[in-house]
Amino acid sequence: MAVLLLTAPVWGLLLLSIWRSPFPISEAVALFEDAASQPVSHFIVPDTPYYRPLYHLLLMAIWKGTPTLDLKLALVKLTHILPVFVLVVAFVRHLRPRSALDAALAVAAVAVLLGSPGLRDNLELPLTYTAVGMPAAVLVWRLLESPRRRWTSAAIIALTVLAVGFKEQGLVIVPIVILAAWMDAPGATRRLAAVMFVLTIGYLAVRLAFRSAWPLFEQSLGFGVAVIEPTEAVHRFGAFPLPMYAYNALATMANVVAAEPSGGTFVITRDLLAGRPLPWELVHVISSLGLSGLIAWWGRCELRAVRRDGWTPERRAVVLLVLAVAACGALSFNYSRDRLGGMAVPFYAGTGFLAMRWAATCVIAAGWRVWRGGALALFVLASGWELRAVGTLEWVRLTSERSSREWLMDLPKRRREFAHREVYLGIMESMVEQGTRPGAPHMLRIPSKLQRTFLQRP
Amino acid sequence: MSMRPGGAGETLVRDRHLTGLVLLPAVVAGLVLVGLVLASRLFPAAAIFQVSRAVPFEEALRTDEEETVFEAIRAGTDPNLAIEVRDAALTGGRTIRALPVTLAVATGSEHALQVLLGHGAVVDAARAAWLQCLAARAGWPAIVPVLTPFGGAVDLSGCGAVAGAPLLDGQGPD
Repeated sequence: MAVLLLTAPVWGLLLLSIWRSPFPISEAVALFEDAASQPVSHFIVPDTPYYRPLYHLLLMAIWKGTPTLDLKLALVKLTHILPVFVLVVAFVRHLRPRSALDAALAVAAVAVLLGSPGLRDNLELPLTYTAVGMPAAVLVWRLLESPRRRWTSAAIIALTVLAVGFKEQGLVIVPIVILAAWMDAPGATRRLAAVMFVLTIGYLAVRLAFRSAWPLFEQSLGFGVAVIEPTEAVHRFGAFPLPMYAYNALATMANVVAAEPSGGTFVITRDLLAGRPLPWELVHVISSLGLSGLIAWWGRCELRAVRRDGWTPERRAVVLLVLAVAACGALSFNYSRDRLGGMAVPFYAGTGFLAMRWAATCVIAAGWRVWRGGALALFVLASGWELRAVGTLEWVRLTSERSSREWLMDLPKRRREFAHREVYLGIMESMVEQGTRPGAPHMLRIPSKLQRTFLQRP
Repeated sequence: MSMRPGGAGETLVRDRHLTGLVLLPAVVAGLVLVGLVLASRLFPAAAIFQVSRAVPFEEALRTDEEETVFEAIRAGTDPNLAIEVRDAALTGGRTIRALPVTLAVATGSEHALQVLLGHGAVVDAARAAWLQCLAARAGWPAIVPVLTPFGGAVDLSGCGAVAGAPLLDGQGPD
């Protein structure tokens, strides 16, 4: 409870900012148009590269089942806010801090969770995809590490179906459950692992059966310091796309553990090499590499002890983190985005907590000389991640500002572009009021030098 | 209480100090964020909390401040009502009446123009064609495509400015 209270200013304001943010025109109106006009079968048949049936069915249920626009929009916002709230609460409960020092480190771990690009990039309204998968992953992790009950397996399967139904990144949970069973996690059984494996093979078979003419590259690709459009990517890599797919996968994995590249583009590296890094870039790289280095150091020690002492929750956490990062990478082979690493973020933050706890215990036991250096390092790490968590809050406000600006300036263009889509225009015109309502969150008007210490601006 | 060097007491002190150090960033961030929320309630007019500057409609049009332009429309300013404009460069120092869209085009305020067009300004084909010419004469080619959908593409080669004449002379559709 103390951890939740201490972190409440950031996550509380974050959720409040999402609640008060306007929906953007782009994506939101088209999604609502689909919910209003498409038949159920349109969302069920898996003939699209982006298969999110539960998300679209939920949107449809809200859109068609509620009488007023305000209520529809409020419910859609709640479907985004509630999962993030559950994520924070479930994450803190999973850490189970038992001492004041544990609680302090758990507070830092919540900052890691909130400050990670994988979470930040999943906070855009109304794209509630991985925002549902992330708390599902934490709950599954918690169930795997808790004593098994009669309903544990059913709950794990249900959470996996929920996560996958909102976005296929939820498939990250499958290898986690299977490997957790192999590592003797108390909540996992070999039978559950077998059922998950069979269900996943069946799911993938159905998806691939409907795979007719998906493009080689779905979206623009970050490559080096440039961005390549899909047509150019087909021209350059179409004959043998595997190296580009591997690049995308590695880019997403590296983003989770090193904050770079972002969307496949090495912006921070470019600025560092040019000798003009922005403050937020230094904060991101130092905090990510610092925590990842600590996790690697501690994880190596833990894994060495497996053969001698067997598996523990800590040792399993190291393996699950590696697996989650690798699975996020594999599932983002087509293009890399920060949000595609989202499913690995709770494992990164949770394992980060364990590594920081180990480091703290070591420096406390080692005497004052070691304590000074170790305490300073942990303070710098906690400060960096706290700045990034505040950066996420400002990012949400920046997104709100951009959405407001869309409603101010893009209406003539949209009215022309969608003149033939009556439902789209009807929904857009009905949403102008929410898009231009006074009091939408906006960034603080502070000097840009100060702002650049925590806010990543593309 | 005396503490033996390296003993349990010192370990406890290091534990407490480390707890405080790790907590410090979150406490500071929390206090600053809560303080800012309180300050925004107590001093809502402070510059740090402002989205848009409180400037007159005409100035917002000239300086392309889209939020202020929209605030004025929301507050009741009619985007189709001509306003008085006086400017050494634009009007040769004379006071003339011009529509807000005309002033936005003449000053290259693309964002403000889009706000006007999206929130009530009526531009027919003839005015759109004239405004495209005005944009070309004023040296704002980026504005032309914004107006094309309202009046079709215009041959801009015939839009040349008259030497010595101000950009806005009170003539034209306004």
